[in-house]
Amino acid sequence: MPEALPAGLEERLAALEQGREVGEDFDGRSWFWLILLGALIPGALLLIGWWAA
Amino acid sequence: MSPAAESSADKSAWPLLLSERTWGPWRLAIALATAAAATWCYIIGEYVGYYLNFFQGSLALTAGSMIGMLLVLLAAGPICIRYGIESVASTKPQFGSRGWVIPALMQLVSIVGWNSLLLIFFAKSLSQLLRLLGAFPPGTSGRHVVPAATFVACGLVFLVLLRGASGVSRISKVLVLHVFIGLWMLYLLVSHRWPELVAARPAMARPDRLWNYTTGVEIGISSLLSWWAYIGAMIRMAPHGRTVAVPVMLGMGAPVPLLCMIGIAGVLVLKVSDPSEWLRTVGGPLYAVIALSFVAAANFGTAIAGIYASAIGLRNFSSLEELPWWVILLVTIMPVALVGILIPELFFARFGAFLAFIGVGFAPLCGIQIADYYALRARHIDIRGIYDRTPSGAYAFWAGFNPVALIALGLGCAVYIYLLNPLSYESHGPYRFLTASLPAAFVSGFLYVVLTRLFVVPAGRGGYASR
Repeated sequence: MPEALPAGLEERLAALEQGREVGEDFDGRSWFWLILLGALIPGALLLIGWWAA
Repeated sequence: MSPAAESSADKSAWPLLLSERTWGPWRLAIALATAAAATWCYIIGEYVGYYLNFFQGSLALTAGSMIGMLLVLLAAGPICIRYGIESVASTKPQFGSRGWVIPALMQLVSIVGWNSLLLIFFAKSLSQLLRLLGAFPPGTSGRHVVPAATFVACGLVFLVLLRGASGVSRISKVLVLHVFIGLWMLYLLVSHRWPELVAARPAMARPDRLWNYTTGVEIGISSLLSWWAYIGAMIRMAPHGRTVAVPVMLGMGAPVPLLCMIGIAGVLVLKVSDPSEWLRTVGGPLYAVIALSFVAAANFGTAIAGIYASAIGLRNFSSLEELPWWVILLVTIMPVALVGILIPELFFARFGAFLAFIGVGFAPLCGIQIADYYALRARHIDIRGIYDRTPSGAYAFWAGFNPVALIALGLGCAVYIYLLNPLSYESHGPYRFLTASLPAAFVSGFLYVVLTRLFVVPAGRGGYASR
């Protein structure tokens, strides 16, 4: 027997399942910034810190 | 959707609808920066300053922080952003409809720990400030001020959070100023003591340069991994990935290493990382008052964000789902208040082990979430499955638990501890080349993928077959 979800939650899930209320995942521009700020710049900082010390 | 349900949505663990997710990039960045900048920055900086000079320490810590921030964002971010849910709920596809209690406990312990520390700092700063302003009569110790101030701070946090996420946003618009005061303090120390800072040698540096450098990076990564516990509750208020990416990386990832430099500089030059102690030496009583006010404001802002995130996380427990918001807040604040009032000094003494615990637990968790979302589920999540507690639910696995996630998490922790003992800082194997957090995250993620493909997918569990 499936457990009934609260009506308010059920309403939200239905809206999300229809795709109307789903937010967008990272797009190309987001990935650019993520890679730049989370990988390339840290990598450059590490090299500078190691070789310039 | 009824107006009442809409207005209280940010006080529950239910998914937020796009119409309720109104935070833009600036609002999110301000809230995140206010949450990120706190006294822990000085402690983190102090640890780095034991092993590295100012230049290397700053760069290693900044790099580590940005890498850690990326891991956290890739782990919890996509599910939270798309469906408007918080960090704990985002672990249900990996840990199961009952197994999520393990990440929930990690979140609770992390937030209670960090916020206890921050509120103890808040209370100590207030006590010092009152002493400096001559509020205590001569001959009195003012020893009751710290527990009393902790109690008052908890009360204020409670009052602010009665408004839910809007309380976090409103208070952060004011408290974000402390980030700039922090940068001014850094400028002050660097400009006044530059020759000493350049000449200063770290007190506990080992003969192995690479080990010292890697340890600076590791401290940055493991410290930022603790943001996993906070991030979901904040980013779910924004509607899209592009609204979130830069504010998280710059609003949350950047202020921490910047303010950590205060701690590095302080411990290298003056042998003390807390600016409320050294600023009086540098600039006299007025500067000390400013620093103490800064520390109090910073910690208060972070505690508000932390308690909010933890309260939302607790909403995932069915027994707490229907309770009034103020009761949830009390349940969340109570442990913080008890630690801050009853055992502040003991907690202070154990901070190093606590910081290490963060990296041990959260690195594998991030690895598992990233591997599951990108490698196994190809970005598809069954949102109903996250709230379905029945045995036939998408994420029921076996009795609500996914043994593969538990094995991967356990082995990831073991890898971390083998590479770097979080208590003694004794290291083994490739730690000096790889850090401990990154291999722990990788091993957990890799194991999760392999074991899931070998056992979970063929068994038809975990909602992988329905894609």
